[in-house]
Amino acid sequence: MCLAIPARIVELEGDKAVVDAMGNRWRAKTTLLPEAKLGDLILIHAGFAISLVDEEEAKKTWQLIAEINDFKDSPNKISG
Amino acid sequence: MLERIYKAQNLMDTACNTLGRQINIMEVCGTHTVSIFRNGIKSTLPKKIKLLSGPGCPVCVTDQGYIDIILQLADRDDCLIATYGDMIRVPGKGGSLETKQPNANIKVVLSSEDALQLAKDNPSRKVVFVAVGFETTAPATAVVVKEAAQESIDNFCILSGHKLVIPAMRALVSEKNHNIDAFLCPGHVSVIIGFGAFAEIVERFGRSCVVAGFEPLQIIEGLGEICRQLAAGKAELKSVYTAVVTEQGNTTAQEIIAECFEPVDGYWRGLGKIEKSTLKLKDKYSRFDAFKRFNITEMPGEDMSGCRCGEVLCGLIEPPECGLFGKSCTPEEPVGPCMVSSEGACAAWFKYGGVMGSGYQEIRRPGSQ
Repeated sequence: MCLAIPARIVELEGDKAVVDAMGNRWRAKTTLLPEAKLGDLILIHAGFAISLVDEEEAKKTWQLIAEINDFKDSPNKISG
Repeated sequence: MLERIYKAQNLMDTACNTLGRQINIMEVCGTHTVSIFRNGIKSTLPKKIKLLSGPGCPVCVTDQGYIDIILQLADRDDCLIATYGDMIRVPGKGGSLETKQPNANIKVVLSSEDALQLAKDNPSRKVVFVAVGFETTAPATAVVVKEAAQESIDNFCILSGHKLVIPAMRALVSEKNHNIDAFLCPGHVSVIIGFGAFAEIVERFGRSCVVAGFEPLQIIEGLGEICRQLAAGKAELKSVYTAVVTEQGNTTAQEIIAECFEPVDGYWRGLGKIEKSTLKLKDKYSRFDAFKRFNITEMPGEDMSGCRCGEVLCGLIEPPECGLFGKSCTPEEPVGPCMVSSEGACAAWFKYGGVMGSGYQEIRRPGSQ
């Protein structure tokens, strides 16, 4: 459940962000990571950025996610 | 990469030889559990190293009493239940949220923000957010409670079942007969609380605490580091997940948890009542507390008949030792939460079959144990 997904901030207004991971875009908030800037890579859990993350680490995680065949079908892909 | 795996395996072999007995390492993170099984990590370890899946899956540790409260609230016409997808299949009295779904008002949300939006969109309904999860998830709940207070969204409330990892680890190693030599500590909980938070377990209980990420190499290196310490007769605090975990953690998230919540005694499946282990809303936010709004007291629930999830969560038995495992309890028709959650130890055993899995099972250095 504590899985967090790395994504890049592609839009940012106040603490409201649009993020992109592997071509998927969704809304997230940076309330818990006030230092996050447009273009930053962040770890997102349950709709909130919790940490900055570097390019290498993000790529490793995206690769892992891509390997999980049933990931997209899972009902708990963000929370779980 | 192979060199790094061999190095970790050498450290493990040395620890096994030095200690001359079985070494029990507990992971306290559902995502670790899944990665260990998926990648066949158990088969890369010496036979004397045993991995125990601890209370690291929030759905699994949630007491049956809490589950039954959600199911009762789901029966009320004036309520709308907002829940993370993980919770909907957990069985309780009279079914699960999933079996109630056609008749009840249950919405699956991906974020606490979605739950608050549901309250804004349905002003005539009482929206109850099923707030479960460890320290990683609790800040997201705190943010929306503050928002609800600022915007006076009074038809919103949360049923806080948020749990704290350290009190559970403390409870496990305080047991006289526990068999835990060391902990592989959760990566994303540590992003929030910082790896420094595990110091108490190291210093007071003399147990190694090593934080690792979720890719297989991280886990193997984390286990290697634990074994290095064990062989040297030491217990230390360390993080091998240096990409995102710092010693102090995310202080903004810690502050917002502290502003909204206070730790109180709470019930855990398998572990019973643990002191100051559950987050309750502070008095200034009590109007958003579903326990208060509906005048509910959480009582320990009765586990489903024959279910041994509690013992699995404490590392006392492995899933196949439960009489229901794979027979009347399967991922399709789960009886206990460890089979419901994709991160549960039972679901992982069922899906990947003990030590099997793809990936690393062939990687054993020639001559290793």
